[in-house]
Amino acid sequence: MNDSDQTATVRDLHQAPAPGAMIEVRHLRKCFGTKVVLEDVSFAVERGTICVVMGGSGSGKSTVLRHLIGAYKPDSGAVYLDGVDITRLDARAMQQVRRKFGMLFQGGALLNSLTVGENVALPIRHHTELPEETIAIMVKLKLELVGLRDAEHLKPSEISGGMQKRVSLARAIALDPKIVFYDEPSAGLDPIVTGVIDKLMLDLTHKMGITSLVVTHDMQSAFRIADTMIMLHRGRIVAAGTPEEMRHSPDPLVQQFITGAPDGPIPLRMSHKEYQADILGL
Amino acid sequence: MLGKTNLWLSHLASISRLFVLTLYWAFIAPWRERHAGFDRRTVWRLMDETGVQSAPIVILIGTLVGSILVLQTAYQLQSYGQVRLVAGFVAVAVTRELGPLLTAILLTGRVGAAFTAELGTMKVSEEILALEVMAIHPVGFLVAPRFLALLVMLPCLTMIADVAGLLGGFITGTTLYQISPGSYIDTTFRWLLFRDVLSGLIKSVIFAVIITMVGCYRALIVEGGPEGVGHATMGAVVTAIVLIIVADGIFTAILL
Repeated sequence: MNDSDQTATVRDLHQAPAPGAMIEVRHLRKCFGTKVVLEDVSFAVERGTICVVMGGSGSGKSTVLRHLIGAYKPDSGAVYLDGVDITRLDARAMQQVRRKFGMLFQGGALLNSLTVGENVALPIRHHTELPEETIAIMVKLKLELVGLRDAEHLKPSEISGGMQKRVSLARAIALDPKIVFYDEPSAGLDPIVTGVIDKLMLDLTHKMGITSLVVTHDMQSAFRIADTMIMLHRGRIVAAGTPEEMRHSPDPLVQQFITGAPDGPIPLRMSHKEYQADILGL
Repeated sequence: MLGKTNLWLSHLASISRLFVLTLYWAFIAPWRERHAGFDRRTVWRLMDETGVQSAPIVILIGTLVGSILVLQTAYQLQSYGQVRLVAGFVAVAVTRELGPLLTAILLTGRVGAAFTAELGTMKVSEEILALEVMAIHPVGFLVAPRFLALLVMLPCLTMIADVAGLLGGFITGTTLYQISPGSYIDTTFRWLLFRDVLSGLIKSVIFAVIITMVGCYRALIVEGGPEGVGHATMGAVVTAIVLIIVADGIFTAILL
């Protein structure tokens, strides 16, 4: 992404958020100790679209996600969700914002002491005063959406990893959120289940108008679902655009990531020491 | 050295904050918040797991300690020809000291370790983060019910241990030392004061706070996967036992 793009999509830190943007991140910076993990990360996601955040391990994409859900506070910068800057909220106000979004965790993160149905019912029970019969119907609706109505009375340990993820998705959308975050939705899944999850994401976004942000390094799935894409490398955004723009990007870094070439701008070997010297103990 | 002191102080500050939060979620939130944060059924289940299911082992250990105490005390009293006083010594030692202390140490291993392992695993598998994202407070949902369950069950178990200890002493004293049952019971109740039992129960409440707070705190700060959980569980058990004995010393001095 060149500079003019960046200024067009990202406004000054103190301006009101862009009207169409559901998620907006501005000049995010985060250090752990002396290590800079994120540096000047800025992007916006339009309402009702899917934005895919790509990047290798250690590129900072999970850290971005943790800022978006309010688990980390940035050293500087702002995160707007539905027009509210969550970096300035206290715990109680953050609780209010959190009801507006759901998240699909990498490992599902279902509570193992509860059944599948109780897991999906958990946020509904906690945040509404609906009678039990209504909750039971809502749980069935959400589970039907991910095709797992039959699993309602099973424990998470009794179903497969792919099913756990689908249940986790049902739980994430239990309260009809405006935003859903996905952390590596296809990690550890076979291509067919990945396809199922991708289709669910597309349906939710386009039929229900949910805004989605997906962190992934599965390129096939990324190009299938993305409306916009962002690529992170060493804590900075190195490329952003539509899937078409990314595919034809001249940037060798982007090309290496898309094609999965083992060596390129991102080196295969991480060692700093000279190979020969290291082996011979010099 | 300074760094280590600072680390200890910051842990102390965090665990105190966790304690205040737990008190809020256990006693104030159920009346103030729209949703209590935890389910009443969870507290019942935990009371069953921590209390009812611990009862057999507490009875076993209590009985054994009562009889051992009779053997040890009688061994010393024999030289003064005062074996029949053994009942009084044992009754006071069991209710004031050994009942509460051993029950607490037993429960640290059985329940405190389970708290750390369970919540620590939830931490590393992102379940606790998932709760936070669902705007469900992990302290209210996970720590408060455990706290309440143990706060009720540890004094109950301590009373069970007291009774078991007295019974163990009674059996050993009447069978091995030919003290008549009537005289044994008589000596027991002449020596044993209500405040002995009460001081033991007050201590057990303090121990319940230590076990849950240390166990849950170590779990909530777990880092680094299964190895981290193992390390935290070990650390929680050791820390809790040390703190229990330190607190025992302090409260014994105060409550004498």
